Amino acid sequence: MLTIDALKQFGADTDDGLTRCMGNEGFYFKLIGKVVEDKNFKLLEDAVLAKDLDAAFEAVHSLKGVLGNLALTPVYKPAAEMTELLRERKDIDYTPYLKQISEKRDELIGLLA
Amino acid sequence: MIRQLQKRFGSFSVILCAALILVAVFPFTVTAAEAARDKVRVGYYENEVFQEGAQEGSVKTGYAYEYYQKLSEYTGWNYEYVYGEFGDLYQMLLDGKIDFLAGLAFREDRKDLIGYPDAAMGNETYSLVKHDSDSGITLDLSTLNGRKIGVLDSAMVQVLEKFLNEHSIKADVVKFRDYEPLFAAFDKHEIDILAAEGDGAHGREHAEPLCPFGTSEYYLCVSRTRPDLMAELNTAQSEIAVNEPNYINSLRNKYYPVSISSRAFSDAEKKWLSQHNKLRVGYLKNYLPYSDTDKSGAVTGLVKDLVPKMLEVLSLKNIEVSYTGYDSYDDMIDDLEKGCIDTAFPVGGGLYYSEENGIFQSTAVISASTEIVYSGEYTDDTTKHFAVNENNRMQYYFIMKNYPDAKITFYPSTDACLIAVNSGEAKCTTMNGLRANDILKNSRYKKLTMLQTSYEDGRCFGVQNGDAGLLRLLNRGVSLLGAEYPQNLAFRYTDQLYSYSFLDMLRDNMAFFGTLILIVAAAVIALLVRDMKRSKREILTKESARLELEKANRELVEQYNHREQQDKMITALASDYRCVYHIDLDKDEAVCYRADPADVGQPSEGEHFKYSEYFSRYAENSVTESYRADFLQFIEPENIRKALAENLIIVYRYLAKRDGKEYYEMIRMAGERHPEDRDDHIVHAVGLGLTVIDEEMRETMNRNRALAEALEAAEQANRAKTAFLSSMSHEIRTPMNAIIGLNSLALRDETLSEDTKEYLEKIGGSARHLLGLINDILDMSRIESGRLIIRKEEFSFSNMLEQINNMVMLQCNEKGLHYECRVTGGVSDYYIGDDMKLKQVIINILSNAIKFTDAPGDILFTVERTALFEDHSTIKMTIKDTGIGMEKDFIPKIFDAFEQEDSSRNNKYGSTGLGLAITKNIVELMNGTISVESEKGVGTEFTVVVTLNNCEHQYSATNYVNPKDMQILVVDDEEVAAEHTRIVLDEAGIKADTCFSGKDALSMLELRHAKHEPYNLVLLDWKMPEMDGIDVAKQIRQRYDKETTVIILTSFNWDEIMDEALHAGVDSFLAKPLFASNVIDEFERIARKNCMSLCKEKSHADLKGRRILMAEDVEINAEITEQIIMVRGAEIDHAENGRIALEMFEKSEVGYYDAILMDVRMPEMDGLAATEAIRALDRKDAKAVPIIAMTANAFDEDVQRSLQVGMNAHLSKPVEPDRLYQTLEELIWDYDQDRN
Repeated sequence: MLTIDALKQFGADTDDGLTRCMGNEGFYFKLIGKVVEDKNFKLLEDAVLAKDLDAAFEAVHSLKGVLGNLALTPVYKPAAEMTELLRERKDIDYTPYLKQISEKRDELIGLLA
Repeated sequence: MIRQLQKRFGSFSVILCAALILVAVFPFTVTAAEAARDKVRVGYYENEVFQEGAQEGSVKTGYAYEYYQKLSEYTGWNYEYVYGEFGDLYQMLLDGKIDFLAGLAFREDRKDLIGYPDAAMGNETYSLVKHDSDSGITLDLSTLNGRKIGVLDSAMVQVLEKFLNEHSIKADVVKFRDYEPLFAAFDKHEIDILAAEGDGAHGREHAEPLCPFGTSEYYLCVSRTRPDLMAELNTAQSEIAVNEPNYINSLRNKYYPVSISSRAFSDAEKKWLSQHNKLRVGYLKNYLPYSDTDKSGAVTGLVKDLVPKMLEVLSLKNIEVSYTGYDSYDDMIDDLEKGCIDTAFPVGGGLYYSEENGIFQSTAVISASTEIVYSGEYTDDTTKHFAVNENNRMQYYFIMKNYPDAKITFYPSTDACLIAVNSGEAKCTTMNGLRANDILKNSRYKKLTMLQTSYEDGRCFGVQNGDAGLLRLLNRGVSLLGAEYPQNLAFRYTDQLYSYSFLDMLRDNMAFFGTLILIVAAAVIALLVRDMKRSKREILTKESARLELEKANRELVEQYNHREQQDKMITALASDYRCVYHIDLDKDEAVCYRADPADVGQPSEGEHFKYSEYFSRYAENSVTESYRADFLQFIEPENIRKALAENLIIVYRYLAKRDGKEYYEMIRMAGERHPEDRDDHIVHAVGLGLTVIDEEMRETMNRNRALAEALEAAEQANRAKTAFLSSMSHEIRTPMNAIIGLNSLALRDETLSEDTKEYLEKIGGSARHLLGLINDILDMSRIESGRLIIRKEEFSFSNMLEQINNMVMLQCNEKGLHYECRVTGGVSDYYIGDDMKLKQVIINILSNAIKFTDAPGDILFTVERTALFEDHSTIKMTIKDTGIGMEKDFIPKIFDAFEQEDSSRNNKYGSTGLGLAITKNIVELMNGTISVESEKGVGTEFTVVVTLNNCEHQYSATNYVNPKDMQILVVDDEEVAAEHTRIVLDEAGIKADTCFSGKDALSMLELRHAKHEPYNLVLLDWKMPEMDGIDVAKQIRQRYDKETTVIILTSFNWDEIMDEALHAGVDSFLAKPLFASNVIDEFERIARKNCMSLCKEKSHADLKGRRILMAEDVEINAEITEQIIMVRGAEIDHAENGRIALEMFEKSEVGYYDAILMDVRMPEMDGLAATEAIRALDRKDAKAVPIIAMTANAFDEDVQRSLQVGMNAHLSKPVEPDRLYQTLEELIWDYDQDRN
């Protein structure tokens, strides 16, 4: 069961996230439940593997926006860094970022269970 | 019959006497005063040159004697001389047995015993004199040791002893009670040295002046018993000082020509003297004032007096002088070369020609400029042809030297030259400046004009080449006489250069005689004409009575003689007028006494005519139109009667025209008799005269024009001064900015050593002090040019006091002084006035108090309200210290610029000298007063009283500026300056951005505006390349209206651009460099003045019930935004991408949506394309509906792009709810305004 404390433990800026959700915890948790299912996580992984930098940027940019909105900082941070690198279309090895994103996403999924 | 005749004659005499009395008024009163007065008793002792002839019946001369006579002119005193020795006379003065004693020096111990007048009667140099044979005494003063020095027992003794002390001379000083025994002792060699007044050698052949040893003033002292005489003496002396300021000097020069006449002659001079006992002087005839031969064949002119006077001052009594006159300069020089004469006078024309002639020239006796004399207009051609006197080679030389290309024609004399110029034979001639003026006064040269050249031509003595001894003697003589003596002497002879006729005198005294002539002429002629007719008849009837007839005949002869004299006088007096008439106002009859031969339209002499008829015609024909009406009014008989009842003579000046020429003319009238002399007090007949005054009027007009031009020049200079001060202060402030800025940057380096840090702090302190001085000067120049403006703004009085106290308390603590501020009842928290200036005044005075008070001391600042009336309060502020205080004498000067009691104190206390002057000026501009009381060593108390307007509206002072909310942009093309400003703001807790050009500033403003985080304050440098501060301000105002407060930050004096800047939208000005301590205050003040908050609250619309279209592809984001918006009661429609949003908007009713929130990055159609498409729709709301970009891209270029496609604002994700509300509320409010 997801709690504010658990999210805090995880490293999310829950104050910020809740403000945006007008203090509605249920709403906040609902959205977090939705975000971990976001198709863009998959799209990002595929695009990086396929070296499709344009598609990868589209995906990570979108993720960054949502994660930022919900103040899920541990996932947001690597996503934001990737966004800026991909904005420049930098052809580097993005797997450490993907790994970090994926680990934190899994951790979050664990909290939801 | 005879009685009748006498009676008539008598009445005529009365009139004449009455007129003449006017002339004689002055001497008449003096005589009367003399007669009425007792004699005053003067102590008269014998003293060479000073006061001679001290016994009954002997001729009196001397300095003092002449001075008594001068005093008598002013006081009317008659003197009784009391003779005696000085000592006895002094006792008599003490006892009141005599009234005056001359020649006393001022002595402290005497001043209560005898009366000293305010001014001295003279001053003298004291000299030491030795026997010429005594070669043991030289100018090496140690040779005086052991010698006997004789001195009069007087004030001179002290002067002598002081002199001897100063030179460490031990001499035997012998005091004498009187001059006689003193001189006798010297003559008998009983004393070696004579301490004498003047040069002391006067008339004493074997005396040789050694050196001067002091000076002293001496007085004409008055007995204590005669305060009345003392008062008269003081008055007379000050009158002399006013009327004849040079009198004392000229008197001294006359009697003591040169204090040290002499020293020993040089070898060459001694040799000349040993070989000569005669001086043969050659002189030029016909060359007054320098030289001439008079009717009796004797020499006259300057040379006659000059040569003996020179020998006298040189003490060469045994030289016999002889003169030879020459008609020709060449002959004179020939004779000089041949040795027939020793010296020639005058010579001149330049050194070159004198060398050519084989003569030496002495120093110039007189230097006078040379005048060009010409006829008609002066043109370039005028100096191409000179008339030269063939007998005056000096003139020829002068022209050869200065006008080498001119044609020269010789004439036998100066007069011949002038006649040649007069007739046009030659264009011009030259004349010596001393001669020209007077020669040209001769009426036959009236047509000639002179023009001063810049060439001075000295007139000298000439001696044969090689005769150095005589040359030196002459040079010595010339320099001993000084420049004034020959100059004054010259004027004695210039009179003879023209025959000064009675007519000339009248012309010179036109104004006075003008009055007389009209009275006398009118009266005398009228009576004479009548008398003549009757007396002839009477003579016939008296033929039978032989004796009586003879008697009558005698009287008649006398009368005729008298009349003849009168006729001459009338002719003479009338020459001042172009024409003269006698007018009988009652009968309107006029007769012409003198006609102008040049004026044909005028009645001839003796002709009778109708007054009104003729003069009306004259006005019509000969008076220019603009003056005609006034002229006619002036000649109106009633007007004349009225005007003459009050004035002796009435005058009207006008522009006349005759023969096609315009010239100024004056009409004057005087009553035949004064109205008060008549029983009916009415003027019946007048004399009327017309005078041409063209030259005088034009001269006056030129003078007025010159004055106007001078005034203009002076004003121009004043403007230039103000501009100079203002630009100088800027020129200095610009580098000062760099110093202060760089210094504060340097101080931020934390790795600095303590020493370096201390040095930098001191540099900073000095720079700020210097800046203070410059600001003072600028303030002063503002005050002087009337540009200092006193504001009327609401301000917090208590806040002001708090700031003052904080600052002063700090300084007092540092110095160890006790400071207290007392505010007593009735002082409100808020007033309307100029708090900055008031603060400046108080801080200035308090700083002075701190400066001039040493620890431990007290400074007390008291504030009280002394009066309350209507909406005004009078506030009295006193600042009292226990400092060093001031002398009473200095207090009146304390408020003058650059005044300090003791300039040496500057070092200790450091001061500008302008502070209090500025303070006083500011207080006066506030209609306040400032005063000071002070006592040396006790302390000083300043009192400032000002009246302020009461402030009804009380507000909280801290409302306006909250450092945390401030968003400031600093724009300055100089990086250092911008950075300094940023640092200063940082210190005050305000975050600021910087940029270095106007263009950058505008784009930064645009971005912040779009992000809805506008700068609320822009600090603009004024002078920047490309776009200056005012241009930027204009742009800001055009684009953002009142969103941003614009302040010009400049080191310039902004007075001149103030209007333009305010018009352009600048809110205020601040002086560079900015200081952290006052920056918040300044912002406060500006905000208060503009009655606005620097952190502006924009108007907001309520979001309740609004309809908002949201384009967002990410569901979660959409849900969040939806949630946020719904909280405020607005409805939201969600479109999954740009295309859907476009379609939804297209389908909606016009005005349905209040705003659109547009994600930028969306599939199918992104936010940018969608916005472009919406804006391009042909419907009323397409252009105006607010569209807000929402994106995670907070980069500037993204913002730019969204603005380019027509979005109104740009918000970055993650969205902050408050931000979103604010943006929506503001934009919808604006949209509402548009729609309604």
